[in-house]
Parts: sequence; C-alpha cells; structure tokens
Amino acid sequence: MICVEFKKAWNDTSVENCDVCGNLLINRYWEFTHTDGRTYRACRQDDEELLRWLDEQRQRPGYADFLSLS
Amino acid sequence: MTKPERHDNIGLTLLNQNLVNICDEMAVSMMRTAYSPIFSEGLDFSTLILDEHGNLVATAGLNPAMLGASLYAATWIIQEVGAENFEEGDIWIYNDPYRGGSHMPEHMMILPIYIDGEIVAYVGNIAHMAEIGGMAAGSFSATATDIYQEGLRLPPVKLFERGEPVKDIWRIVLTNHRTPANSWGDLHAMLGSLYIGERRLRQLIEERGVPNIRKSFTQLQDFAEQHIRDEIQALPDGVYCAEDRFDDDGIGNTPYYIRLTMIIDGDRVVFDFTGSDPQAAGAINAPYVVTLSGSLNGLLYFLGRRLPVNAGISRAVRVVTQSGTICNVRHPGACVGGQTEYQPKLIEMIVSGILSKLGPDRATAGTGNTSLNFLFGGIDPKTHEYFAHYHFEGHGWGGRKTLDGNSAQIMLHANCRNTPVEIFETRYPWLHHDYSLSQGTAGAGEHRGGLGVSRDIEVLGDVITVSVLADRGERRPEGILGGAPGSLTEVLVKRAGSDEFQDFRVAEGSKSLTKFVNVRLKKGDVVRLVSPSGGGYGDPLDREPALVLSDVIDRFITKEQALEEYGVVITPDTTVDLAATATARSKRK
Repeated sequence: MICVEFKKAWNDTSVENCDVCGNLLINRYWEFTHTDGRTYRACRQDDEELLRWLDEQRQRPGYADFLSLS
Repeated sequence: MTKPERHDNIGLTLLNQNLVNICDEMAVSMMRTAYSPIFSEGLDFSTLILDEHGNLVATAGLNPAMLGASLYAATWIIQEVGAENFEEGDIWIYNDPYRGGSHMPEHMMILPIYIDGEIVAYVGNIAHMAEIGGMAAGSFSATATDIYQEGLRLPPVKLFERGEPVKDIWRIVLTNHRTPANSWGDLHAMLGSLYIGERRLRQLIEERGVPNIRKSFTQLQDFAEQHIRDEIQALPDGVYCAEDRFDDDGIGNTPYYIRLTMIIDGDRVVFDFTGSDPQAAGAINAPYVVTLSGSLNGLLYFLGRRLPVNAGISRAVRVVTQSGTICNVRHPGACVGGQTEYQPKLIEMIVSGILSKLGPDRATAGTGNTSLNFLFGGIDPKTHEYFAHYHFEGHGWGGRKTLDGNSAQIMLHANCRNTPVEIFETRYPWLHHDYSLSQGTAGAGEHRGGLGVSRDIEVLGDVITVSVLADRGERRPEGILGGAPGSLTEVLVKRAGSDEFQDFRVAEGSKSLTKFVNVRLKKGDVVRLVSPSGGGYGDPLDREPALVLSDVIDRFITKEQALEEYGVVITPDTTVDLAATATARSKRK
C-alpha cells in the first residue's frame, strides 16, 4: 500500500471519493490493489483490511438478503 | 499560573456540561437574533465546539440531522484549506454538500480560537438558510436535476478576514439570494452566536489552561468512544438487513430503494449500503455525511442515553457507500431532499427494521417520516417586498411497547419546530381555515400511532408560488406485531370558486403527488397539507377500552372506528359497554 499526497490547483474545485467507503479524499489517499485485481484509492490506511473483511462478510448467509424483506 | 488539573469521570462530566452550556448559549443567541422563522421558530441549526483539528467536542442538543456534518465538515475544511492559511479573526463559511455539507441551505461557519498565536479550538455553527436562490423560492427544488438548480454553492471561503468582512463574498451571497435582507440578518445571527461561543470558550480556556483543555478534549472523545463501544459490545454480533423506498424522485414514477446491511462485530458496527439504487435524477439523493448522520442517529436512538456526543462516537462506526448512489451523491447530482426525506427513512430502517428486533421492548411502528417540506414565495401585498419561507410539518410517530405514538411531531432526526399559525399569518399572506389533528387516521394498535395534522390555508396575496418536497404519498407507515398501518401524505389544492380539493397531479399535471415546484396559486386558492399518521403497535383488540373511549372523547377516532378497529362498544352517552365489548372482541379473536 502506498500513500499518495496530492494538492489540487486553487482553481480545481472538483472532489473525489474513497473507492472503499465513499468518503471524501482530501490531500492524500492510500492506494492498493485488491484481490479482485482492481486498484483502489482509499481515505484511510485500514481500508484495505476493511475491504478484505467485507468480502468475507458478504459471503455470510443473510448478507444483503433484501428479498426476504419484501 | 493555572493549576494542573486532574481528570476523572466526574470532572469530565462537569467539563462536558460546561461545553454543552456554551453551545446552548450560542443557540439561544442565534434563535433570539435571527430574522427568519426557520431559525427563530424552527430551531433548524446546530452549535459546535471543535478541537484544534476540527474534531467535534461538544454540541447543543438541537438538530441531530446535522450530526454527520458536525463530525466531519470542519476537519475537511481545515485539511482542504490548510490550518496554516487561517488567521486570527477569520471566519470561514461553506455549504458544499460534496465536501461535508448535508444540503445546500445548511451553511457552516467556523471561527478559530487563537491563544498565543496557536489555534487551540474552533467554535462553529450550522444553520439552514431560508432562501439561497436556485430554481424555487425557499431553495427546496423537488424537481431539480442538478446542484446548480438548488441555489448558490459555496466552497470553504472567508466571510471575515482578520476581523474584517470580505465584502466581495458578502455581495456574491446577497446578490444570489431572493431575500437578501433576511440572509443578512440570519448570517449575522450566526456570527453573533460564534462571538458568544468564542468569548465563553476563551474564559474556560483561561480558567483551565491550554494543556489541560487540549488533554480534556481528547479524554472526552475517548470517553464517548469507549462508552458507545461498550454499548455495541452488549448487542449480539450478526448481520442484519433493512430496506425502505421513496415513492419516486419527483422526475420519474419509479420508486428508489435504500438498502442497508448492518454488521455488528464485537465493539464496532459497519453499515454497508451496497445494493442501494443508483443516484436519482431528482433531489432525493444523500451526500455521504447524511448517510453517516442517519447511521449514527439510528444507533444513538437505541444506545445513546447519557452519551456525550462528540467525535469519539464515530470511531466505533464505519459507513460504506458507493459514490454515485442514492446514499452518496456524486457531482452534479441534486440532493436537497436527502437530509429531510432520506435520513429519517434510514433512521427508521435502523431503529424499527433492525435494532428493535434485538430489543422488542424498544420497538416502534412506522412513523410518518416525511418532513413535508412546504416552500413558498412571492410579493407581499402589504409591504410590496419579496418574501420566501421554508416550512416543515409534524406528523404521527409509530406506537411503541408502552405508549401511543407522538402526534404532530417533527421527523425522527430533528428537534425542530414547525411554523406557528401566528407567524404564517403575520409574516406572510396566508389565512388558516383549519389546523387540526387528522381524525381517524392513526394506525390502530394496542398502542396506536400518533396522529398527523391537516392544515388548510388560503392565499391572500395576488400570486404566491409554492413548492413541495415530501414522501409517503404511496406507502403507509407500517404497523407492527399486529398493529395497523398509518396514513398517507396528501397535498391538495382547491382553486378559488371551486368546492373540490384535487391533488397536484390532477390540478397541475405534476409527475409526483408529493414533489413539485413553482406552482403559481392565486388569491382565494386553498392548499391542504395532510401529514401521515403513524402505524400501530400490537393487536388493537388488546387496547384498553378506557383508552379507546378517551380517543373517542378527544375525537381522535369515531364511535364506529372504536367498534370496527378495536371491538369496543361505546354507548350513546359515551361510556364503554363492557359486556358488549367483551362479546365483540371474543368473536374476532
């Protein structure tokens, strides 16, 4: 995982979001390649671990089982 | 020289109360000095004390809807701008929902407090400006399809620099608002609140010393974190799902789904919104901080007793969203309705859909759960000046284990108040024909839902432009454990000379029953706003007959409903016929 510092030009008013949680990226992000082969830009250093953990959780029975709610 | 201070829980509690009192005083100042009823009557604002990094240390117990912004926005401003670019006497303002704001009408101000040349803390506030331009008077554009139709967007900019107003910024703001005199007054109410907070916090820092205050701020946050982690730890680990939907987004006719998987994992909670719908074309989307707010508020409803609200609570929680969904709007998506319509749905999903199953004694049935935002503007026939106002309506909450639902209560996530009749009629050209609890609409139950309200108001001016952003026009608040569902939102109009109320689809061709903008009404037209009533809790046949009788006497239900819904027979002289009631109930059990 690498930490990438960035500073937008004063006239660049765009914003970017964390690929893991959707939070705002400001001034820096952590970049890593996940097991799905995709490169992620994350707002927090522990997001790589969070994503791995979520992958496991998403295999659990009942996860995102919205059909049973309807 | 200031004495070193020993910290213990009692000391921290006293300090926390001291800080909250400062926030309360800031709030009273804002309420008393604002021009707009949304401040002075609605109390749609928050006041904050933040540490040197912008992390929340204390807030007045006013508007939990702003919790996400209170927790994150200042830290983001400070990071983006750079603390090295702040100076003593500066005041920063912003309202950008893509970088920490909840929606554009809510403006945040922060003021750094310097001691010996160093920032020790900030005071801040967030307040809902009644009018900030955009496509609709009142700046709540239900049919906006991008942010640029919602009003003037401010990135973090200085409103004051070294104690002097930045006049260019003031002129840009006041030029783009429809009611600049109100904005001038409300912005100064916010400024006055900051100066009160600064003065009081400086006194406290002088009493306790900078090192002690810094240490205490950290300890308060650590205490809150540990407190909420302990509460979460007591819940059973597991994966829980909940779902709710919008009737539509005001642009098309399809529903939009919010989907949540909540994982309780030891002493932390992860809220995963994967599976929620892509962001809508209309203005029902939520920025990230609104989803954060709703997640935390849902948790705090269940766990938050005696918990100091500060940055510590957010450390036990992760919120996972995808940018470009209804839960995390991406530029240039419209999002003014996320704060008022999406967030209470999310809270109810967590409280009623998930946590109440873990503690049935704390379960509640479905609430009305729409702010029923009603906006209007025009030229006042008395003053010949432009006016605009933002009003939200109370509704019925769901019944619960021990009590009926509250009636005419503002939505779950806000301690706000609606606009009093007197303000409607003295400040704006409206006349009330009726303002009452909606008889017979509450979801029946052992504990019935709270009642929504019905309001008929007549236009007195030549022309008035109205807009509505609401929901629950098609899906009734659910009853639970055998309780009946509540009732729907209705927004109707009766044109002058007509005897018939019609919905705005029929009368004006709007796509949605509950979302439309800029409908021009004329003198003599009457608008009817009907807010939903809450769902019932438990079997209505188990309701105490005396309570049913009381509801009949109060005209919350009719005698016919008493029999049909509750199996209670009310005699002509308005008493309960116990024998007939027992017979009626036994036949239906």
